Amino acid sequence: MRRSPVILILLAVILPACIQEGEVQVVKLPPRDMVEQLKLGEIDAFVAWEPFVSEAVVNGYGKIMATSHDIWPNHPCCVVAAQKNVDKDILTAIVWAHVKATRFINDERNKDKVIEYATEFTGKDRSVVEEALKRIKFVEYPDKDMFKKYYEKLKENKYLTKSPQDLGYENEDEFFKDFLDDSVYREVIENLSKNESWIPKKVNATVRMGYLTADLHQLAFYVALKESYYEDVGLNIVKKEYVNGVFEMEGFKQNEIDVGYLGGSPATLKRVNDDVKIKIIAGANNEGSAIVVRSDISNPNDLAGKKIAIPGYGTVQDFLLRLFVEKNGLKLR
Amino acid sequence: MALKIENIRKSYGDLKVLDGVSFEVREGEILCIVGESGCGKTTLLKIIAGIEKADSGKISIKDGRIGFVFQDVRLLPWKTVLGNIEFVLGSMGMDKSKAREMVKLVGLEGFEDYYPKHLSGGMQQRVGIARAIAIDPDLLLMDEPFANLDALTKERMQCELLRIIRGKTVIFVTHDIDEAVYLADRVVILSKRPAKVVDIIDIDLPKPRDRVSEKFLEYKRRIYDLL
Amino acid sequence: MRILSLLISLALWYFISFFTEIPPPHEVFYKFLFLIIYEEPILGKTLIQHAEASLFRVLIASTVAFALAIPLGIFAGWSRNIREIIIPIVEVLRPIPPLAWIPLAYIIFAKLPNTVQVSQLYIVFVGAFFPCVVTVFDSARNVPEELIEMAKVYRANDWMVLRHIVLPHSLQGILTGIRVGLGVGWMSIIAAEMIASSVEGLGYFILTMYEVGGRSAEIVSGIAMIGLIGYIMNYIFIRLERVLIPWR
Repeated sequence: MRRSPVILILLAVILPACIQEGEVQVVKLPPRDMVEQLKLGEIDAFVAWEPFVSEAVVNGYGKIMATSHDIWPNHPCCVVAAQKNVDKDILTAIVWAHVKATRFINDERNKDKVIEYATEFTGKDRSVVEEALKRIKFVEYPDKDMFKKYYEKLKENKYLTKSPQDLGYENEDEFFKDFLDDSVYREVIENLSKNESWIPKKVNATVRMGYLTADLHQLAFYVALKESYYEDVGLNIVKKEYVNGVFEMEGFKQNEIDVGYLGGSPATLKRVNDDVKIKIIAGANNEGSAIVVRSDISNPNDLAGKKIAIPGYGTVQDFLLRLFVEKNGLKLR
Repeated sequence: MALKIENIRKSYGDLKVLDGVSFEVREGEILCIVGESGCGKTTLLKIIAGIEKADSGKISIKDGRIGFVFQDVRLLPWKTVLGNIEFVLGSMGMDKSKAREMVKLVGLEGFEDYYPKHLSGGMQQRVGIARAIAIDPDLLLMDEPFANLDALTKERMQCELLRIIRGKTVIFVTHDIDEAVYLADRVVILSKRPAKVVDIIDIDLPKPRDRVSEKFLEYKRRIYDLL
Repeated sequence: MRILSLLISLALWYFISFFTEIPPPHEVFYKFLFLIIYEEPILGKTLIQHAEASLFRVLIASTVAFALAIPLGIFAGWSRNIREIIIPIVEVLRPIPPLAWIPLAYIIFAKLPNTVQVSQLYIVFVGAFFPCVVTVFDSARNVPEELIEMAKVYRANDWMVLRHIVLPHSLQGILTGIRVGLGVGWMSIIAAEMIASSVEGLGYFILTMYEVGGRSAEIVSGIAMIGLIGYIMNYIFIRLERVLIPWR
């Protein structure tokens, strides 16, 4: 063949790919690798959630340039999700256990026990855990408006490939009513406000629960286990550990789990893009993330031309970075 | 006297191949060694060429260049006709410019840049011969060079060969009696394995020889009877 | 006949896409073209840019691998001593899949800057090295004895034998070794990009599209690009063989 298409393709391949100065270069890394790489100097900064932020700070690998609270107050983070077809009584039991655990964590009197549980659950040093707990807001249900705002950002940045209509809803509001289903939650807290020691009726069921490895945000799950809240409502919990939220969503899709603690971002992304039928029945935490930079970087403009890691595209951390970068007049690559 | 071999013995393990072979080769003569296939003729040639060692016996040979033409030609497939000849000139440390002349000598003018795979069997063997002659050998060893060719080509090559090797000292091994009588000044007849020299016959006929003349056929009969 | 093969494949694809979530051929085709011309929104690069990144890594690491594998294979085929030292080592290391080296690579290269990139290059190196050295070795080992005998009769020294006989004979093996080595190296880089972190590359592209979700057409496009490049590389080498080895 004389005029081979091969040659044309080869020519087309000689496209220059140059890095422009002044742009922040984004890399994707799992959080535990972020800490390592910051230490090695492979990356200049990262955006991640606790306890990885504190781990880096306490060990002197870097310092916090901005917390997520500074950038986006009350932003959603981890949530408790369930398959849409889970029985209402079971949901009530689970939400109750979660609420009790969250209140346990937030009670000052339990401070030492909480730190102990946290150290056990994450396997990190006590000093790291103590630091981290300062920045996490353990909540019972995510801030609905902030969650909607997150959804808007996903739409804006073209992360979503399906609209609510594609999923079978009339409009966005209907979608959210279904997705952010707080009906069970409100029932539970109503009963609890009337009677502090109210326990929902025992369900005597087995529930497969997913969670992320050593994720401090999901402490409520661990606390509920240790304080026997699940037992109190007759729930037999089968634990299933996942490496990240994407895989946990896959677990939902394959019907490996009924309920799970995971990040709001994979929950939303996969709910919409892959139509994995779950709903959010409770919240695990808000905030609790930060931008950590190398110690020799002092102001945001220094980030130009540097390498910063995020845990994934479309995550809350991704948007935290974008917001921060915008506010400081930089550009993302 | 170009070469004298005395009492050459060679065995491969228990197999005795050569059992006391002796003869002389005179300068400028064509000596044919005839014997049935597998009687050790090739082994004998390799011993003379120096790439095999005899178990016992003596070889008296002038220090000089030896050319070898193989039955299976053995050209380097990745070199052209010219390249193959230049290769041996290079390995013997001689001037490579002679190569073209040699190509002409064996009648392959125009085929200098051909690869062996594009040549017929006869043409390939011509290159083998050109290669052997190019180094101006003091002794030319030829191991049944035309055995793999068809009868017509073979006869033609035998005729050409006489022209090409004129004046050289040649040992030509064959199992073809007709070939031996056509080419040789003298014929050494080897017995079956373990081989000994049965007889050495002078062929007293002028060259080029008439294959169907009475005398020719008489010689053939004599050799045939001795084998 | 080739056209028939293409048509059957397309038909099969349409058939499968009916029953699964795999996007049908025309969707993928449009997405593929789109991704070549326009930048993919999330990562901000075209498919070609990702391909370039992956290709760049493979070519660099493979070149180093071949620069080592070819001489090693030739000498191991040529000299019994070298063979007996080198080949056992090769045979022990060869079955280890390139990816299995990743954790070790991180440790080995920890002190260097750009650990992750170097580790990825190392993975490709391992992938390309072993098939090449084995193929070259095999080829060098099988040089026809008759030719060497002929060379000895004409008093060729070892160097001449190596240069004029062993090397040209092994050329076939060398080209095949490179072709196969590139193939394995290409596969290795895709996997390495998925596991380690990168900024760009086809493996990285595919993984990110999966993580964000709802982008099957992009994923299939990425896979198609991987296959296309692999095919082209292979094709180039087969043609190269014809040019470099005219005597066959």
